[in-house]
Amino acid sequence: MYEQVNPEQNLESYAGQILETLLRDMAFSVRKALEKPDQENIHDLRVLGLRLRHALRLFGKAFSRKASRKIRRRLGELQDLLAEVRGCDVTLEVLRNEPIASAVAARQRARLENALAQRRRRAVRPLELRLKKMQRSDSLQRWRQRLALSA
Amino acid sequence: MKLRANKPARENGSRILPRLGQQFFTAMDSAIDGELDAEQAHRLRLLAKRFRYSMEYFRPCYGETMDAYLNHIGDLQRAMGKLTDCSSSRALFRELLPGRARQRQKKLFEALKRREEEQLDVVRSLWRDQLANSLTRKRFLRYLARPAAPRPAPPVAEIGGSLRALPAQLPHGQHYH
Repeated sequence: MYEQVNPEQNLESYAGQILETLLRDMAFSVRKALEKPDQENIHDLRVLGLRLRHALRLFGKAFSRKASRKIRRRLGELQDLLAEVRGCDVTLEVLRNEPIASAVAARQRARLENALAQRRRRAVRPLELRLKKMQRSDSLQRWRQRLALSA
Repeated sequence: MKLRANKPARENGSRILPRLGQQFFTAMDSAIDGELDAEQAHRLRLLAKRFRYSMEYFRPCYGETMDAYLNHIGDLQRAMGKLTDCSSSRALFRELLPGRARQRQKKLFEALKRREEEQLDVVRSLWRDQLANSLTRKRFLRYLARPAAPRPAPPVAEIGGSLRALPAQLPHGQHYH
């Protein structure tokens, strides 16, 4: 995933390249999630958000503390929205797979699946709004600038 | 543990990763044989995930030899993921099923509980088979403390992170974990 970075460079530029890679992948993932907010795309975006947040925490010293904290906070808000959707996906998957599937009568399972699907639809709405806002304001580009990554 | 921004990444990796590894091992040791509840399992899973992500950030300093270790942590993390999936599903079903309906779905909750227990056994056996052994663990930590010899780096690709200028496809593999 981070193969293009050179281990011999100092940590500051190394971490910068790691973050560049994550931000670039995240930009792509945001677009995918907006085009099709299915289980896979939501999961990919969520994992990228986690990776980015962790990288900012780990390499925090190499960047402006204020910028890093602010981005982490924004990412945290996004993660909460993603977690709501992901929670429904995980529960649906658990419900559909054995041995759980056979522990529930078919009619009741269908009811639960409907309730979960409805809850998911409700959770996707604010997420989509947030992602559109991120796209409109070119958030990831601004984050790069705040972190003073080489553009 | 502080990283040194002006020192090479390799040196920083060899400083931080053994510490993170030791933290993870200590947390697992103290939790694995006891009554592991959902909250603890969630915390351990986060710890495993952070350790793995940190290893991946420094993977270019270690090379392909790191992959076997990454796989061990990945396997454990996935097993813990299945365990926490069951407990988070249980919580969500509780919300979706009000009082009486919940009582009627006793079988569902029992099946989830059983699944959690099975998954906990999987986590325990993975831990015992792969990382509980003190020699394996020493080897692991020693490996993290001594990254492989440097190799020439490929040219750095031009990178653009704007949402308005996106790559045509996902640049690194298809899925993330």
